[in-house]
Amino acid sequence: MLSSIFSSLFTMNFLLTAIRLATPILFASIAAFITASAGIVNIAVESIMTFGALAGILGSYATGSAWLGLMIGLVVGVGVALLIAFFSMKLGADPILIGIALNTFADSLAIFFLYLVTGEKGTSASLHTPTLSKVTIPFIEKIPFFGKILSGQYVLTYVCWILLIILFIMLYKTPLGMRLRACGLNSDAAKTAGINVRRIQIFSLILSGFFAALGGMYLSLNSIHLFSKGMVSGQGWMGIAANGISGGRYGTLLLSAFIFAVFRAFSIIFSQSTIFPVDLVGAVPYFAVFFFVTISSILNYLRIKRGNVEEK
Amino acid sequence: MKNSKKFLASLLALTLLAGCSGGNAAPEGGSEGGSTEEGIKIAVLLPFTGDQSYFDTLATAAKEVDAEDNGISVKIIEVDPGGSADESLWMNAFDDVCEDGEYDLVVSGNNTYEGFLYKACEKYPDQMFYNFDYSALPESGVPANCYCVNWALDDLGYVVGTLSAEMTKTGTVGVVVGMDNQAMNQFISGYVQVLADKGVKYVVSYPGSFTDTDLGKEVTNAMIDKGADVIWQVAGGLGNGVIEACSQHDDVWCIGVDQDQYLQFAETKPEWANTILTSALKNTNVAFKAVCGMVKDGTYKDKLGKAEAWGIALNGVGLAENDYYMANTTEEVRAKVADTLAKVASGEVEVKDTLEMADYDKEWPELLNANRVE
Repeated sequence: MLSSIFSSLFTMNFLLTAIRLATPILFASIAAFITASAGIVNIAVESIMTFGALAGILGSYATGSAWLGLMIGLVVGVGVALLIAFFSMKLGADPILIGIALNTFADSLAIFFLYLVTGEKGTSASLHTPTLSKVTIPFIEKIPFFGKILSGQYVLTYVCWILLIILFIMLYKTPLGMRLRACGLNSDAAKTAGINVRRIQIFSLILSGFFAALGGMYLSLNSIHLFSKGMVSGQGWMGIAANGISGGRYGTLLLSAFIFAVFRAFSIIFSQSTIFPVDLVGAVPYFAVFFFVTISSILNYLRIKRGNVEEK
Repeated sequence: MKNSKKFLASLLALTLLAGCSGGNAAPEGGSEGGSTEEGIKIAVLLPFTGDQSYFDTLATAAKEVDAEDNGISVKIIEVDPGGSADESLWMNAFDDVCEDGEYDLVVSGNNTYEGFLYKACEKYPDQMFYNFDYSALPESGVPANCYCVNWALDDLGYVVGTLSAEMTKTGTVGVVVGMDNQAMNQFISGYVQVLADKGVKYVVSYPGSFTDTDLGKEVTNAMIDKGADVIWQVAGGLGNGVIEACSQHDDVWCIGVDQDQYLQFAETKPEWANTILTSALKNTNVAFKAVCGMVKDGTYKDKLGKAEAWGIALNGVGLAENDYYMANTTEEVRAKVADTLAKVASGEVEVKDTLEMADYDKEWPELLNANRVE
């Protein structure tokens, strides 16, 4: 029993499963991270993922091309992010409240639009929707071990990896990234230094909507090939939790997002085993969230106590 | 700034107005089916539709009955889209439809929501009710103004298990069950029983969700890694992920649930349809139409106060025997399945049922883990 669990843990397939499951969580986590870095909270990641997932599929149905559908999904994701910017910066509403509002009606509104187009409330199965596929890279796929990881992933997984690198360069190696992080660290100081804080924050929200929409479309356009009610199922929240754990550190962010994916993969093994109480299976990734948030707060506390870091 | 506020305010006012007019128009829109004033009116109270479960099967049947020119109009009311099982929500909905005695029949059910139905039965003794799926009857017995049916899911699982055992080449099959509870396990009690009897190994997975499609896909991949080549999904929307995973493997069959899922995907997603060998049907539509007929010709009154299982004999449950199934199964396999159907229907084979177990917590794990692969 226990041995069978261990034997399925240290396999290539387990690693591949975790890598596949990590993509949407990574997208969600950078969506939360980029706004937090600029000093504005976006807790609507989950809902933007839902809208993106649906818009991508409906767009691909309307245009007959998966890539054009992807563009439409991105436009919708950025549009929702701009809505947050409009309400929070122009009308002065609390971004948390806007996020709660969006998250509350996202699922129902998505079903409403789905119903308008298809007349069904569950899935987009009745539509002809071209979707994105996997990519096999010649030569690389023949490399032992790494070949399986580097080749044969979904298109949007590669997009995710490339964007992670670009984002890193943008945030830490360019003046724009410095300014963005300055807004998050101390917006008053940034203002004094002549940075247009509001513009930077709107920019970060746009990026956030872009990444979150990609996360949603990974699920609908790339992995499952249709939109299904409630398909985001809390992965946006895992991204937000990963951002919470990261404490503003990029490496920690990516690591924690990947750890959540690993725990989701654990839950798959547990869901088929007899020794683990099945009722707890669905809670496994969230236990991981709880555990790591606690650990990271303790570490942060200790660091501040030692005086190594200024209190934010 | 000010302008935008004014604009928003007027937009809100407009929305409110639109909302009001929409509310007034709704009842008229509901009985569009072309029925007469004196026609029979039926209200169907479902928590939600669109989850690809038997709620959808029932809702589709309700729409069909409504559209036919038969003097019956059916109104579907989605009471609880969030699935909160909030008592005030449900009792209000029952009050709405029962108070005026406007409807000839009020339909509701399912193990999560049937408690509210029984309360309404007590509150409105003159109203006729139909419980389309009971699992726990009230202690006082079947209400005198309600006809309760349930689905011999244990028998259905037994047939699916028989078919899986015939079709597998690897000797291992699998089932994905959305949640681990007594009502859901009724689906698979007969399934694991027949597989253990035949010495076929099976993987059982409880992902703990009905919506998380991506997880469903990976759960299925893990099953296929363990050698399962006939996989049954009993997991609502999460099942879409199961079908997707099966469609990626040429030598893996998927078995659908509740409605004929081959037909559901045949036109737009042939790669999915082509992996669905057949579906385990729960014919809530057949029973609903029968009930509508009985209400119309006045024989429904004889059914009140009764609880019945719609099994194989009544065509309450069974396999979807579409062309694709016929083309991909041999005469021999179909004969075995037909034989099993007959044996179960006649009671020659005794199928174990989780809802009838004296000590579920002890008996069920024993049955479940008899020949299970981890």
